[in-house]
Amino acid sequence: MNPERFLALLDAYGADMRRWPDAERAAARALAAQGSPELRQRMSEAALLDGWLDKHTVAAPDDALMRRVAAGAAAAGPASATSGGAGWRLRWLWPGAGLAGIGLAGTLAGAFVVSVALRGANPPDADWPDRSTAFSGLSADWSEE
Amino acid sequence: MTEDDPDADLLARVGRGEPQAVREMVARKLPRLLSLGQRMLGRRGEAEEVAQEAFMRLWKHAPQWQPGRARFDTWLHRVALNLCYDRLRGRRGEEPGDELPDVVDPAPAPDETLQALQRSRRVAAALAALPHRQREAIVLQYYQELSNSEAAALMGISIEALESLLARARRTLRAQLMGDEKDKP
Repeated sequence: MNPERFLALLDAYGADMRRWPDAERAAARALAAQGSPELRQRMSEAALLDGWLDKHTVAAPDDALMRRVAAGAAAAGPASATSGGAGWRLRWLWPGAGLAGIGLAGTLAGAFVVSVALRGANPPDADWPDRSTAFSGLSADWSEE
Repeated sequence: MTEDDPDADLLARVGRGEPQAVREMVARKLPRLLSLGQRMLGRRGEAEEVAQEAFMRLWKHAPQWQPGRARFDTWLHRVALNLCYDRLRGRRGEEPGDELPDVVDPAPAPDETLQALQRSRRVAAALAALPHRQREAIVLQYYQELSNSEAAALMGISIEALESLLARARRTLRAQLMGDEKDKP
């Protein structure tokens, strides 16, 4: 690698060579190790800009957004119907689908008891919102790219 | 999806409708899509909408995902970028001031200084001022940490063209952020 190519890579990818193209990284490191003052100076300048760019942070998604996005999986529609049929949705909406079947076959008087039991049997999923609330206000074009 | 696609197993589980896999996918990809959207669009609300729309397509496609065509993460970036560009095109005619990015404080740690938030805002403004293609290049390569070949493929350009865009973007950012010698990150 010649110094010109090294500087071109530095200008494009910054000072952290882990971001550089795999195929050129070893040669670049070897050249940097030679200790050219000009390359060192240019790398310092690039590192300063990297430091600035790293200051830009994006807030993590809040819990409500994560729930809305996950709830969309149950509303995905035709794709789930073709691969897993109703079971796909059923497992999502009622994770204890087997128990639900028993409940549905039960007497009317027992239905309430079963529903309470199901809520208790599946605490990890019970806190996810019903899909009917997700994306109800969006009219996004979901056509293929 | 290639054999070494790190998302392959999780995607297959999503396709089978496993609720835990859905939650894992959200935890894994939602922050990434939000970062992409917010840095491309500069608006938190729009970034969240783009992320939600991208996930809807993910959920729809997961059961039929065809291995061997593209890495899943690359495909997801393509979907989100298309949605971002739809919105950027829709902004034509807006007043320049409308381009100023939203600032959402990223839940600062107790010891995070006001100065750090100001610097974040300053970088956000500098990113927002870049031409779209330069911004896309630096967001994909620097912030999303895609390889140069992945970023170039997503943008439909050669690696040489990507490097040119990156160099121009960094030159502009350097001038904006480091114009004053006293400016240190």
